Amino acid sequence: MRRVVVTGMGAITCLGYGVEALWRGLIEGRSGISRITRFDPTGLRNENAGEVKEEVLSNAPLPDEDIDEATLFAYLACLEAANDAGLLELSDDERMKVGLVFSTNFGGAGRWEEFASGWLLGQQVNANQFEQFAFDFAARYVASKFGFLGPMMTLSNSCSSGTSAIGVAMDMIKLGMADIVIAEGHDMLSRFALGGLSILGTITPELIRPFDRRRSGTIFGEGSGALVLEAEEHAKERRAHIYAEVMGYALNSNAYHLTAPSKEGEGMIRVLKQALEDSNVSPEQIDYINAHGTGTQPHDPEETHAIKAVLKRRAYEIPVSSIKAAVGHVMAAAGSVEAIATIKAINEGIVPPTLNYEEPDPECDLDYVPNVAREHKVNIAISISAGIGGNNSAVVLRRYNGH
Amino acid sequence: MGRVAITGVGIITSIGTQLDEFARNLFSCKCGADQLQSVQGLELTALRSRTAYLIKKPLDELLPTKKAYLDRCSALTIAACWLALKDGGIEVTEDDAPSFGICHGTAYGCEDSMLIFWERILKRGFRGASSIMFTHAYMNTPISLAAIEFNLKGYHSCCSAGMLSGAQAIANGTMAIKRSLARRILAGGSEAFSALQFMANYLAGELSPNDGGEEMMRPFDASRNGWVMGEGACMLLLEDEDAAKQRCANVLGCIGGIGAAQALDADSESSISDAILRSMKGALQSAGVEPSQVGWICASANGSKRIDDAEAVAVERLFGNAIPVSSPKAAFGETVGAGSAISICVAIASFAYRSIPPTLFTTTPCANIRLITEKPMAWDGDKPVLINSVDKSGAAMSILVTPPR
Repeated sequence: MRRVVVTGMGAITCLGYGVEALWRGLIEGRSGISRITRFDPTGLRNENAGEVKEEVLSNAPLPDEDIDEATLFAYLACLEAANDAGLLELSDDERMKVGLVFSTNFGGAGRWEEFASGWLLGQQVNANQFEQFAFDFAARYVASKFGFLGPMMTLSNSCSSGTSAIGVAMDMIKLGMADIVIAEGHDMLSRFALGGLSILGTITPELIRPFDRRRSGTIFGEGSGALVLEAEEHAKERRAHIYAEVMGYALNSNAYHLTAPSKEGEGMIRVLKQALEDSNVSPEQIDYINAHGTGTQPHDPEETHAIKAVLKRRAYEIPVSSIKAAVGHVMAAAGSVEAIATIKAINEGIVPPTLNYEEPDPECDLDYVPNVAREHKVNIAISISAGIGGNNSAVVLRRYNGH
Repeated sequence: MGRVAITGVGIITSIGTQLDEFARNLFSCKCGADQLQSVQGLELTALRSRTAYLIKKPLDELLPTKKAYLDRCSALTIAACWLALKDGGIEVTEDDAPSFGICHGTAYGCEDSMLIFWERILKRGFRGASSIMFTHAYMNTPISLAAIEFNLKGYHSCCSAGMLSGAQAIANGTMAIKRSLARRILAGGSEAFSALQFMANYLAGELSPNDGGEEMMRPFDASRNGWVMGEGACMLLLEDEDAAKQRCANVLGCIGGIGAAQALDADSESSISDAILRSMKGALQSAGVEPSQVGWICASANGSKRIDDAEAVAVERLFGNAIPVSSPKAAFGETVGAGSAISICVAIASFAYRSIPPTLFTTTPCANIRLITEKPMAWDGDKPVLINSVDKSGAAMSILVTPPR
């Protein structure tokens, strides 16, 4: 079966537009979390989030159309990734074969809020608002802007979405449906999403502190991450730069509860084992884990337990970090942005830190790379995601050595 | 790489529940449409569009267990999964659970729960929001609840892409089985009627009668004037053919090939037609099947002016007028995220009943294709059926279903 490599990356987060802005922020230990300005956050458990500020957007190459923020983030990340991979230099015929696997938790939620509010208040509503809410709107928009007209899918696996998109894009290439597929995740901060996540108690009223004893919840963010996946022989033939190889992945469900973690991390244990199996990689070969690490009380120990159950002794020998205190939990984009951070860690030999980590928790007893980035050679890494509904995902990425 | 077999179906539509009832009503040309005065608090009397294909059967009767609260989309999904498992003669054991997955498609998901949740925020602010309604309002709530209900611990993926949602879920499930990421997967889609979607589609000029004429769904008819909303659910039990053989399962058909493509310009009929053509060619190529080997084409046509024309032109370009074509949607409505899986069910019914259902209410076909109208057409049921799904945006996916051996 064909090998699949990454030949382009693009990102937009509260740390800025572009993979370099993301990476610089991460290794410098900066957090982009600040007070929400898009709407009045009064009444939320926390008025801060990883918002993409106006000054970031004003310096970005915005399209002419009036589109919702979710689609805008997807467009900008894909523009960077497509340029990075040289896809915009391909012939029209070649571009027509490029596939898209996008993912989102809430689609164009801002436009849906406008439509639904108008409807509930008996005001005039506009069908275009509802159309832009459609979860596949961003993929269709990107397809038409760049002429990427190959197979397309839009996934919505809650916060596992971005990682799921990488896996499904890999399947498309392995099974010969396409040579190039962009795997993308995007979401925007909306009153709908934050209102729900706040009342659920998922959001901390304080700082987000993944794996810290005093952790009390997560902070959400927004943005998009896009990765160009390509068949290895196709990438070599067109002399594309190869960042990493996608070895394998897994998706599954706890089949237990919509919001509570599974008993003793059973679902996450299975997803890690399945991802390693699909990649034909042993636990001893793993050098780094980019954890889901949300900073919620129940999930961080569950993830720690799963990592230890699968990697055994190796779990204590490698760094495990979460970037969510830097960019926020960017929902469907989390898996995509974190995969990009993982690939940068592989290429740069530096692992990003877990910010705001101060007090160890006996239940979370791994090396979480507290607060400061660290030089560390990474050949093979795992990026883990999990989401509401009880779904889990993991993707295994490897340094590309030319063979 | 093994073939992916369909060994069970769970179907709920306005013309019947389960394959036998659905097929009997389909082949006797029943139509599930109802004229409505109001629906979900929406007064329809002032609107041009007043028809919908709604499921009359109480969904409680189709659920394995009673629930305190379920969005209608979640209820439809769980009910269809249960019917598919029963039809496939299989129970999910603890041993099987990790390799038993689910891929589900829905365009609008739990719209009713979203609206209830949002109304409370508007009235009471963030602190007055309901956490229960929020957890029931996610796009992946139906699939998550189905996984919990039936202990489906394996591969798990939700697709949301308008009228392609179900087709994408089936493609996703098929790929997962081919890659040995799962042995068995429940795959399909569901869509519940929602007044919000109805109004959005009405305002967008999608619904019949968008020319002010008679309200009716007439796929491929020269006088068609839009589509009529339906609701429904259909889940297919997909399994590796070897696994199906091992348990002596009744194979209803196999997923032979899949193709997909996008239109560059959603407003251009020729661009959409090109996308449908590439999608159909992709499905045939991946199956190693020539156009002449196809038994009939189960079209996506739903009465849309633009899309029906584009599909007819694409079919004519690839098949000429030699292969029978039919769109069964006028019988059960445009069920959006459920439509593709229901169309596969139609193909399975056509194998079993050796009959091709007609395109109801169509009298003057808009193109030179061999459209089956008025009454069912007998056939041998021994050739593959090509199922098209085309979204109003011009995105297309084609799935070739081969008959049981």
